[in-house]
Amino acid sequence: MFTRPFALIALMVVFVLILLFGFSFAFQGEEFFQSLTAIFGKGVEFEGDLVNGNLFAYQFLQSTWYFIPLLVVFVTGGMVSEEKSQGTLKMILSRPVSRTGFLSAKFGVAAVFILILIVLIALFTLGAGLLIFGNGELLAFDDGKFTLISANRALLSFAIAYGYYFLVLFSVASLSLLFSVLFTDSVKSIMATASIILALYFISNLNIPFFESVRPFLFTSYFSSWSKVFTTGVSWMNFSFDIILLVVHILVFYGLAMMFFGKKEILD
Amino acid sequence: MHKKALNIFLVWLTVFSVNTLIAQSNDPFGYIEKCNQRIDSIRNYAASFTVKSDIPMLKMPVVQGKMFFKWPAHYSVSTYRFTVLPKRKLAPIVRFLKREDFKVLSRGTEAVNGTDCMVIQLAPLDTLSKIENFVIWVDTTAGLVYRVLIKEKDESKFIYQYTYAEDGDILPSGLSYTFEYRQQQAQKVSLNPFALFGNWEEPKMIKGKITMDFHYTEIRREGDKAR
Repeated sequence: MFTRPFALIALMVVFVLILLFGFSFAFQGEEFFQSLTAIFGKGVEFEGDLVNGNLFAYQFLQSTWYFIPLLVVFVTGGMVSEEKSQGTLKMILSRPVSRTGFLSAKFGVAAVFILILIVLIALFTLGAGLLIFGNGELLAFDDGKFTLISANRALLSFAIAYGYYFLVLFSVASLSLLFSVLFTDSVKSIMATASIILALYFISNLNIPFFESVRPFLFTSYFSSWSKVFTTGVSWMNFSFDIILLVVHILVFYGLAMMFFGKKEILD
Repeated sequence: MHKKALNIFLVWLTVFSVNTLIAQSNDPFGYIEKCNQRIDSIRNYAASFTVKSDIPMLKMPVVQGKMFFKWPAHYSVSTYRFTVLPKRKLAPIVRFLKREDFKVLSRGTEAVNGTDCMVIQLAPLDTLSKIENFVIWVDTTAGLVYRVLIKEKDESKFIYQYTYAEDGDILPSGLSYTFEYRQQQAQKVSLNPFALFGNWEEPKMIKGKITMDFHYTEIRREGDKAR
């Protein structure tokens, strides 16, 4: 997979994003913090400094969480369809390699790529952020409310959030691999997956009552649940439910991909 | 002759006292100046404090800190953690009010925490000021400010209510600060950029309360020798 240009390009894109974000945070972190807390400016004054590595990592995750899944789609969308279009699929499956084993390996490689991506983000945002900007408390916000959490609690929250985000990205990769099985052309596979993800994003987040009943069933509705762990009163029951939902979607996409791949004609 | 001179002196003394009393009751700002004189007699102090906030949109833990004052107007605050403090921090509000900037009215008396106070309203003479008026509750006997209400023209209100531990105290042992102002119309704070559509919310009143307790570790008054 890492010989494919898309994978390396995706990792480079994320790295460059982190660098650019880091520079802007270094020069304008204070202004950003003031704009974040401007809503309270009339009634209170803040004492202390919250511009630190935790805020940098949190703000990076908050700014890019919806966009990185699309990078994953570009990388994983052609993992199977490209093998078919290049003719390597029939060569591989003509050897004693089961279809189940082959597809499972593809899912495994996608998981490894996502893991590397998450580690890259954690290392260069949280790790480097703590080294450069220092440690400290984090003022997190969710659903219009701000919560101040301690530095130790922030570290734990980041660990859980990155783990949850892995599931988010893997669910997107699973859908992408499903379409990669369905289509021969990589471009079609990537476009189909990206279109569906974007459409589901809008339905999940548009404040239109018509979609209210549909939202709980869309896996994109749970993409931002990682932010829940940055509050003091976390409902672990609800959070566990969100995790289970994502895992169920991953299993459903994996099962469907297996089913279609098992019936797929590879000789034409 | 001697008796006549004494009578004249007694009449003069009575008239003078009555005039003084009348003048004082017609000059409510005089009570504020009396409070400021008492506050100004403190040359420096150090205090530790505890801050508790009760602001619906902002969850903060109880925080401890220290504050220092050096006459005439140098205040510094340090806290061990990030925290919120009342607007205008911890400087006494009335200390910086000048008579010539306000139209002063007396609004009668009202009890605050069981202490009878004169209620004084100050309306800024500057028509461009965003402040509609100050209302100050003053214990005229002790020369202490018990409450300050700042009302702005956009219906915002900020109330500073002070408590004093013992008779004779000049510095408050507690401060209860409540605020209420209307948020400007804005999008609901959201992580999700796709939630841009249809997520405008009606401007709402932002309310909150901050409670502080002070424990003074050092107070030096005018005339005390520096340590």
